[in-house]
Parts: sequence; C-alpha cells; structure tokens
Amino acid sequence: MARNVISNWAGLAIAVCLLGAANASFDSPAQTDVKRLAEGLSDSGVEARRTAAKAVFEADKSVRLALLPQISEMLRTDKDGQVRLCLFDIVTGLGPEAEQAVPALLHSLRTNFGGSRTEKLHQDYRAAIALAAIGKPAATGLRELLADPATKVNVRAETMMALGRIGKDAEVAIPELLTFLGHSDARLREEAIVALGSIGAAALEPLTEKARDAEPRTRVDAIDALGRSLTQDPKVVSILITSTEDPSADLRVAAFRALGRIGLTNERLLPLVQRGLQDDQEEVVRAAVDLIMVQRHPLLRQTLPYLMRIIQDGDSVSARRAAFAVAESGEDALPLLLDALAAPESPVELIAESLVLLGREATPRLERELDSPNSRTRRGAALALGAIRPLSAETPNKLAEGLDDADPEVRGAFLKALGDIGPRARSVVSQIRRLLNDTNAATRAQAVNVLFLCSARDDLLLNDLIGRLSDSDSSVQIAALDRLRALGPLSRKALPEVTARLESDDDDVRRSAAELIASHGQGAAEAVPSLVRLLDRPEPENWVLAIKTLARIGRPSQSAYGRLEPLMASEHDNVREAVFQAIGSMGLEADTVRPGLARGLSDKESNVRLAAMQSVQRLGPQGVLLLPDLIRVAADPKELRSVERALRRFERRGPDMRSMPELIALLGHDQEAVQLLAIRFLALAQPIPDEAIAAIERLLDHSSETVRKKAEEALQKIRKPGGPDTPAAKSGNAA
Amino acid sequence: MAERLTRRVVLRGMGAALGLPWMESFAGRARAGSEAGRPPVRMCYWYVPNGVHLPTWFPEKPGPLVDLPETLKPLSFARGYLNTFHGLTHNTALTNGDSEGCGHGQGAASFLTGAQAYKTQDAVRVGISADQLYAQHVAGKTRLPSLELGCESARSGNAFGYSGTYKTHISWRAATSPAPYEVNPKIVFDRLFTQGAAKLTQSTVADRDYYRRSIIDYALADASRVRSQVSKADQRKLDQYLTGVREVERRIQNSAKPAPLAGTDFEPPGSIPEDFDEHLRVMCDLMVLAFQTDTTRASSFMVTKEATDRNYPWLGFTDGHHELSHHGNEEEKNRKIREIDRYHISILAYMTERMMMVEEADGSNLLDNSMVLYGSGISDGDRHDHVNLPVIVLGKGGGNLRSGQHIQCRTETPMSNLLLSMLQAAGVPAERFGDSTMPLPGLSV
Repeated sequence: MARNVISNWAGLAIAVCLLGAANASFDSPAQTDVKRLAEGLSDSGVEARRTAAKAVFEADKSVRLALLPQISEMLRTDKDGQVRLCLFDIVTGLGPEAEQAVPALLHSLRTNFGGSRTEKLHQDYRAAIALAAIGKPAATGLRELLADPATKVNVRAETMMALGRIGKDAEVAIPELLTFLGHSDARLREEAIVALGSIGAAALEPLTEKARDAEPRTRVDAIDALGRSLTQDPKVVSILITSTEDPSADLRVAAFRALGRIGLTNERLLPLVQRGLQDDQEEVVRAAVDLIMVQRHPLLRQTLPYLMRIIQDGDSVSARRAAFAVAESGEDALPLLLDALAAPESPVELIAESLVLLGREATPRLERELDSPNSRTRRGAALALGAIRPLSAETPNKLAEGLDDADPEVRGAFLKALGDIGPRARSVVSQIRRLLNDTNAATRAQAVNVLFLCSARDDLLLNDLIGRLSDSDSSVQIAALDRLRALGPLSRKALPEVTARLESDDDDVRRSAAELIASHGQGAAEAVPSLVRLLDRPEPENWVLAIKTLARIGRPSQSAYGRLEPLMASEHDNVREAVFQAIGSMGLEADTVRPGLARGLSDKESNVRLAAMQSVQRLGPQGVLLLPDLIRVAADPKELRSVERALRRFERRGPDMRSMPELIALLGHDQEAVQLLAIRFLALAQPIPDEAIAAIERLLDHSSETVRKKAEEALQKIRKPGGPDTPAAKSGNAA
Repeated sequence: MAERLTRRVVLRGMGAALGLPWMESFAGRARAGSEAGRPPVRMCYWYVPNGVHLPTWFPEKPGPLVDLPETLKPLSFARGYLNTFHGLTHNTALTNGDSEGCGHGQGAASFLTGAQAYKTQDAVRVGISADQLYAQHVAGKTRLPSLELGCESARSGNAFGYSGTYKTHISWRAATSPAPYEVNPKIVFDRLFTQGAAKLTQSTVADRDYYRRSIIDYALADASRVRSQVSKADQRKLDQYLTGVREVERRIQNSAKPAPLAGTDFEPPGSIPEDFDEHLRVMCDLMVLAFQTDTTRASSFMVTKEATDRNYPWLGFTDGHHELSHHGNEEEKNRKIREIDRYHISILAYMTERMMMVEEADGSNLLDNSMVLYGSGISDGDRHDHVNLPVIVLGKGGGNLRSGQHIQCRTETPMSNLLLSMLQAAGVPAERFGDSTMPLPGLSV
C-alpha cells in the first residue's frame, strides 16, 4: 500500500506539472478538479476511489489526460474490480492520446492482477478494448504478447480481437496472426480470421498464400479471412470463385460464405450459387441457401427452381432451409409451396412450417386447401393453419371438419393443428372427444393429448382421461396417465383407477402410474397397499419403482417399513440404494431406522452408502443419533469429505448423550480420521462426561502428532470458562 | 364534432378519456408524434427471474432462424420477427471487488441498466435503465411517459448486503430512482383510460366500479360522433377497438377480490386476478392497448420478481421456481424448469400475436414498429451465472432492426451493446449505454 500511495502522489505531481504547463493559472477549475480527483484516486478507501474513478470518467478530457500517469500507475497497483473497470473505460475514451497507458494495459493482460475467474476474464477484455482504442501505438506490444508462448489462451484471443479492431494499423502483427490459421483451438482460429480480415489490404498477399497451404483447415481459414476483408481485389475474387469447385467440401462451404460477404454483383454470383445448390454435399447446398437467405435476397427469384428441387428431394437440413428461403420470396411463395406439398415424397411437415411464415395472408387459401383431394396437401394445410398467428376465427371450425377424414395421417394432422391452437379451439372440443374412440390407437392417444390442450380443466376432462385408463392400447393409457399428472391436484380423484394401473403388465404403464401417484405425495396414501403388492412381483425393477414411490408418498408409507427391511440385504445394488434412500423420507423415528441405516452406511457400494448418508440428513435433528455410524464411514479415506459434509449440520448442537459410549470407543479406532472426528464431536458435548475427558486426555500420549494436537485443543476448549466442562455449563444443562 | 379528426382526438366523457387507434380517416394519415407519417417506435422490456434451462434455449447455429430450440417453439409463427443471441454478458452483475453477493439482485439491477449495483441495504444506486432513457427521449409525445408493470408483489428481503429493491426493479428513472411496477390491472386500466378525463372524481370512479359500468358507456356520445365521421372500414375498426377495450375491462371487473391473506390482516387490493395466467395475459393486453393508442411508447414488464419461489400448479407440479432453478443437474428439476420457461414464452407469444393484429398507419402492424426484449439477468439458475444470458428480441423497430436471425456474439460481449443498438435503432442519440463497448454488429439495417 505504501508503494501505492507514493506512486499515486508521484502521479499527482506529474499531473499538476502537466496542467501547470498547459495553463499558467494555478486556481483554474480544471486544476482544482485534478487535485481533488487525484486525491480521490489515491484514497485508501475503496468507495472513495470508485467514486473518484467515475468522476474522472465524466470529467473533461484535459482532466483525464492530466490524470493519465496516475491512472496508468493504478492499473498496475489497484486491485478493486470496479475501480479497474472504470480506469479501462477512461483510457478507452481517450483513444490514441492515451499511448502512455499501453505498458500498464499490457501488464494487466500479462498478469492475473485485479480479479479472479470471470471477473479477470472480463478485465482482460476491457484492457484489450482500451489497447484497441489507442490503436497503432499498441500494435507492437500486442504482437509481442501474441508471440509470447507464456500468454494464456483467453489473453491471446483478446489480443487478436484488439489487433482486429485496430485494423490496417496492426499490419505489424500479420505474421503472428497467420500462425493461428488452422489452429486446434476453434476460438483462436476464429479470432485470427476476423483480425486478419479486418487488417485488410496488407494481409491479402499472405492470405492468398495460405489459401494454397497443404493443411486443409488452414486453407479454409484463409478463405474465411479473405471473405472478411470485404475486398473485391481481382486476385482474391478469382481465388474465391475457384474455391467453389475445390474437391474439399469444407473449402467450398468457406468459399460461399466468403463470396456472400464481399459484395460481388448478382450477375457474377448467380451461376456460382446455382452450382452450389446442385452440389452433392449437404453442407455446401446449405451454405449456398444461406448465402441467398442472409446476403442476397435478389437472387431468390432466380434460384427458385433449384430451391424447389431441393425441397422435393426430401427431408434434410438443406431442404428445410430451402423451404424457408422460398417462403421469403413474396407472393409466389404460396402457390410454389403448395405445389411442393402435393408432390409425392415431399417433406410435408417442413413445408407446413415454412407456410406458417407467410402469416395470416395465407390463411384463406390454406383453409380452402383443407378440402384438397390430395391428402398431403390437406395435411400440410392443416398443420400450417394450426400454427399461423394471428389466428383466424374460422380456423378451429374448419379444422374440426377434417377430423372425420378417412386417412388417419390426415386426422392426425388436423388433431395436431387443433392442439397447437389450444384453448381457443374449445368450441370444437366435442368433435375432438369423438376421436377418443377412434379405431386407430395412435389417433386415440393423440386425441387424449389434444383434448387436454384444448379443454377446460374440469371434471368432464378428468372423466374423459379416467375413461382412457382402460383403453386396450397401452400408449393411450400412458397418454391419459401423463395428462392426468399434468392436471395436478385435480387428478387426485382419479387415484383409485390410477392405482389399479400398477397391476398392468406393461412396464411403461406401471411407471407412469407410479409417477402420477408420487406427484400427489402424502395425498396418495391410499396407494400404499398396492405399492407394497408391487414388491411381491419377481422383477427387481418393480421393487425399485415401488420403493421410490413410497419414499415420495412419505409419512403415510411408514406401514411399509417392515416390508422394506429384508430388501436392505438385497443382492441388487439399485434395490439397496433405493431402500436406503427411501428410509429417511418416511418420517420414521431415528431409533427405529438406525439399525437399518447403519447397515447402509457400511455397504460395500459407495452409491448405497451415499443414499444412506442422505437419508440420515433427511431425518433432520434426529439424525444426530447416527453420529457414531457416520464417523465410522470416514475410515474409508474416499468418503471423508462427504462424511464431513454430512456431519456439519450436527456441529451446532453436538452429539446425543446416548452416543457418548460409542464416541469414546471410537477414540481408539485404528483410523486417525475417525479418531479426529470423535475428538471433535466429544468436545462439543454439553455437558461432557468425565470419562470422555479422561479418554481424550489419554490421547495426549498418542503416537500421532495430529491426534495429540487435536486432543490438546479439545481439552483447552472443554476447560475454558463457559466450556462444556465448567460447573456453570453442567448446571445449566442439568437445569 | 367541430375539431378536425386526428390521432390527438380522445373519446371523453365523465371520468373517461380513451385514446384512439390509427384509422385511415385521420387527416393526412399521420399519427401523433410520428415523423412523416411513420408510426412511432415502441420499446417493451420483459424480465423473467432465476435464469432458464440453457440447453433448450439457444439455437444451434448462427444465421437464419430456421430451427427454433424447444423453449422458443411457441414463437415459431413470429420467427421472422425474432432475433436470438448467444454470448451476451452482464459483467456488471458480478461483485467486481465487493464481497460476495447472491447474484439475483445484481442480475435484475444490471439487466436494463448495464450498471453495477451499489452494495447497500438502503441507499440504492445503479443507473438509468434503457426503457427510461427511451421514455425521456420521447417525453411529451405521449400521455404517459412509460408503463412499468409486474405480476407479483414487489416485497423482497435484502440478501448478502444488497437491498431487496434490486430484486424487484428493472426500471430505473435515474441511478438512485427505481421505478416501481404496478401489479393491479385495474389501476393500469384507469391510468390508461381515465387520466385527462372530464369530471374525474373519486365518486365518479366509485360509482362506475359499484355499478360495474363500462368506461365506454361514458364516452359513448363522443364515440358515436367519431363513428359518424369515419369510413365504413374505420367504423368496423373503431367497433373492434372499443370491443377490445371493453373485453379487457370486463376481465378486470370479473377478477375476484381475493380473501385476506391467512394469518394476517393484509387484504390484497381488488382486481388482481387470482389466476396468474389471466393476470399475465391482461397485463399483456394493457401494454398492447397502451401502444396501440400511442398512450405510451416505453414499457417494462417484470413477470415475477427476481429469486421468486412462485409455483405453477397448472403445469402439473407445485415446486417453487427458485427452488427448481437450483437443479443440480437433476433431470426432473430441469424438465420442470423447461416447462416454466416455455410457459413464460407462450405468454410472450400471446402478446406477440396481439401486436401482430394491430394495424398501423402505413399498413404495417404494431410488432413491425416495436422492439420487445425478453430475458433474464441470470443464465443458469443453479450457478447464478451472468454470461451467455438468455435474451431475445422481437420486432423490427420500425424497419430499423434486422430480424429472423441467431446472432453468435463474441465471448465477453456486454449485453449493454444490445441495449445500445436497440436505443439507437429507436432514434436515441446515444453513443454509449451502461458498460457498452460498441453497438452489436449485425442488428441494425
């Protein structure tokens, strides 16, 4: 701190001299400001420095310049994050005139000074922004930082960002930047590409060299950087055009990306894009479509036939993008997309998604297409209408008319559309309800889901869902169970029927039923007997399902505890884990569960031990009875940390007096970690029995220095006034 | 009606003052406060607390928004209006030298200010928020400078030495002046449709409330006069508008008055819907009406306060939001968080659709002329991160904003850069905002 103060006062002296040279009047307001702010910046109180730094940021430029030496010094010494961020901003605001701050800013980037983790990363960014604002005078220092092998990855990235921001004045760093093309770190590659592109003209020659590099990734990066240079230099354009025919698909993709940026005329671009759209590699086609969508909407009309061909080729990433591109082509889009929809093998869902982009203007035509003789068109039109917003008032009724379609796929599309509309399709719920009895199971399951989305959450819906629990198809039952669960407390009325599903032969039905039962917690007490019966089935998976559900029901499942006890010795690890996990959630007395949990705490499997440990925690304050059992687990060095975590909650109230003999016995354990924990907790006892003190005293002769030391500390604590061994404490506790 | 028919016309009556939506019959097709007949830009800022489930929030790749992630799917119909972002950071939400903080208060405080919250229990200080800066920019052009709305009580305790005020305010009129949000839709409705009314007295309002009469009844004479002066199409539009206002008013009137809180003598004010979903939707409707009638151009909406433990039983579970946000990577908790996120987005989709239905003077819709920012000041609720913030923007800002894209921002990009870009697109002559370093590339047209 002394050095800090001296430096700051030196800065003040320089500042005053500078101001004096600039302005002979010693009483000018600016000089007063400088003095006041310099004092604030060198204050030992952090709030004063923060306030001063903010004031400097707001002050006149002359004041900021006068204080620059002090600011530069502070960047090397001040550790407060808020002060530093403000200083970076001050330097950034001064731009090239803050050249003298360059060494301090580079120092900030080189060191970990002024913050940790996320805060430090952001300070590096701010320091780099300040260097970029200074510009050319910072370029050499940044280059050296980049070339230094000791520079960290994030600092390298920030350095390159700064060089890119400096632009053409950073050409001195081109050789270093080029070494990052093709780098294994994607972030560094990207920063180098952007920086080299921003430097522009001076980087073009070396980049064209790199575009012929033997390493494919380096070539791709060089092409990307050329694109970012935004140049139309004939040599560069020629390389980019040639690269669209390179054998490497990655290079062709990069070439289209670059061509999209540099502003080539549509006439020159069109044949290249048309060829790209016919490329045999998916990613190249996608790059060509992206070029049209992002950069060149005028090319859209001229490439529509190609885009339509891509769509009709089927469901793929490029087909999807092509469909979205066509949707942006204006008034032609609707008939084109409808034609595509009608074509055999075309991807109905994705064309429907792109039709949605046309908005409500497309609604009247799509409503007419709901009666199309082509089933694909009916499907696509329905799906699109379900998602178009604003919603037309007529749409739900029009869609409901299609629910009787002979084709189950079409019925499915109409149903989905109504589900997408949700509660606003409430007027047609009766038509949806009819499909609960459809001959097709998939349609019935879908009807369950759509009914849930469109109906009021009332008893009628509840009864509809309960009715489907006896459906002949398990997928319909599962849909009904899942939707009942989503009804929340309302579905409690369905518990008898749901509980009966625990007897189902279908694993998924039983699982969904159990999940629903568990979601009601204690309110599902009536399901306990059925869950216990599930334990009689031969498959361990059913036992785990039943145990976990009982655990979530909690206290009402206490009657099942006797049935769980034998499972503590199960040969299946997952069964034992589930049992020991459950015990703590059933609201049982610690005395009752202690023998079982103690067994779990000494299980051979660590995840079972962990489950038992978590159960002890769930017992709350009562869990203290298991303190000796928990301490014994620490005999395994791997468990020491989790034991210490579990014990933390008992530190305040100390051990239960019933545990004292066991804790005293643990002082003689052969593992030091166990002995130390026993000492710690015995010392917390209120009051501490004399035999415990005597046992700890015997440890003063122990062979382990750590044990001797901890025993000594414990005895000091016990004997100090107010400690557990004092008469006052003993009488207080007795009272 | 003697006066010339313009957007400045307000339907007045005893205790009523209804602004009008744009109609083609307005003189010169120009609207109040607009330049050369262009509709004004409206700015709306939404806040959701506790972060989101990030894996289903961000689109996979930068570029055109073809595939929306699961959480944002309810906005599919408005994909062309949507911008999503990855990599935005609010460094000012970190402690930056202060001793520990929980991140909730700082996240909310920095969200629209880009400023560092001063660690204090009472003397709060952060910075002016983007909505309030815009409100100052358009001051005097609308009846209300701004609207600040919320759907949960603004009471919150201090935490880690930070005032609870930080958790309940995203709008700040100045560094030391938080702008409290209104949770009662009736108060908002009255503010929109009675301020500036003739003979506005307490008894007028009380009579109207007691007899459950509509505000439109009082403005009927003016409405009939306007109706007689406009085209057939405008008559239909006026009827639709008044029906819309009446519908919102009816929903507010029908909101049951909740019983006093158990064990207390606190009686919540009337007309706050008991149904949270309805509460959210009616607040959205009020914002749309306020924008539609050009009653205000700046609004903020704190869906719930930061660190809230509100539950969402209609989604099929009753766990508290904050409790779930500390998911510890448990799949079940993550699933529930995803459902809450998607539900919030579905409410945003509701307002988006309403905005798309409002026709503006030049044939565009309200969303074409708006910017709606939605997000949280925390990214992962379990880690209380402030990097890769979940933020999206809807709307085209009067044609000043490119949309329909996922923008991959460079690591460490301040979210203030986005706030700055939006302000600039709305015509605010700001070169810097909060801790911005430059406008966000790729957003302006």
